[in-house]
Amino acid sequence: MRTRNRRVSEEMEINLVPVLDIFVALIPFLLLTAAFVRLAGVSVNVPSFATAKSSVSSEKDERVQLTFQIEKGHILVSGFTEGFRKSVPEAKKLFTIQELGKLSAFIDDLHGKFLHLDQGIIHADASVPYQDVMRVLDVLEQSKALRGLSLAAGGGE
Amino acid sequence: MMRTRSRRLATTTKLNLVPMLDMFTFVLIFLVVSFAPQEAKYRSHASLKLPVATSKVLKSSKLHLQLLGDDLILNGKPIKGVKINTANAEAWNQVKTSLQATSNERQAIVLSADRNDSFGRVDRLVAKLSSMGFEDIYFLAEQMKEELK
Repeated sequence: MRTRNRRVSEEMEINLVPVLDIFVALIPFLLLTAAFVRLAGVSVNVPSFATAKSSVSSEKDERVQLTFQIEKGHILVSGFTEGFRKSVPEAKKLFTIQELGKLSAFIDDLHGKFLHLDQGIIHADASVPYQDVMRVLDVLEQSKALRGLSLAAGGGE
Repeated sequence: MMRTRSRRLATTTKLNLVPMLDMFTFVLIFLVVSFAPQEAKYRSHASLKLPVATSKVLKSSKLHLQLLGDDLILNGKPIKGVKINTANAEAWNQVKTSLQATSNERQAIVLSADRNDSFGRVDRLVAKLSSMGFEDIYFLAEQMKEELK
């Protein structure tokens, strides 16, 4: 009897079921690590009383410190030198909250005039919406004229 | 007499794909988790709408504090018994303890608050944080594509 060896060709089949199970398990990981909204922010320094007191510049300091008083709908800019002892009239101006572009141009203009701008100190009224304060902080941070931003936290009163 | 013939059976090596795909899956999960964007670290409460800003720099910090109404949420966990408007010294000590338990260093605090909230509440919180020694505050915002005019 003649036997004939047959080579039975086996076709390789990929079982898709466990592959799909793994992909389904990957979906929660992707959802947790996905970023649907791009985040940004503004960094400010909030000095305590002791830190603020020690950082007040001396009388001979010619750097101009700008203060930004934010009240509902308005921003009052003021400038001081010599450790807040001397006022800078050219730096005093009032803006509305819609004139942030003009505020930015004004700060750049001051930087061109005085060259040495120190930190910007922001104080906002408690009733001002948080979004408005953030808009002002954003504009000030983008302006490279200021050395940094400090927030004069009044405790919400 | 039977003639035996040694046969050399031709063997073909088959590549088993199953363990290879398992390893690729583990590697993929590791890559997804390790290269996740920084935004994934800061999960805000669903009802909290962040303000918008054009700044593109995102700071990294271990301390993420959310101000939701009068409640405080630190790294996703609410700090119980603390209400911003009525908190006494003991409650603020509890906040201080929670912050110091998370991070020993005087790190920057990433602060999230609702855009429609009044600044007074944020101001009170920031003032208290400053008195605790946390002077570096990062106000978190959504990145806005258009520049302010």
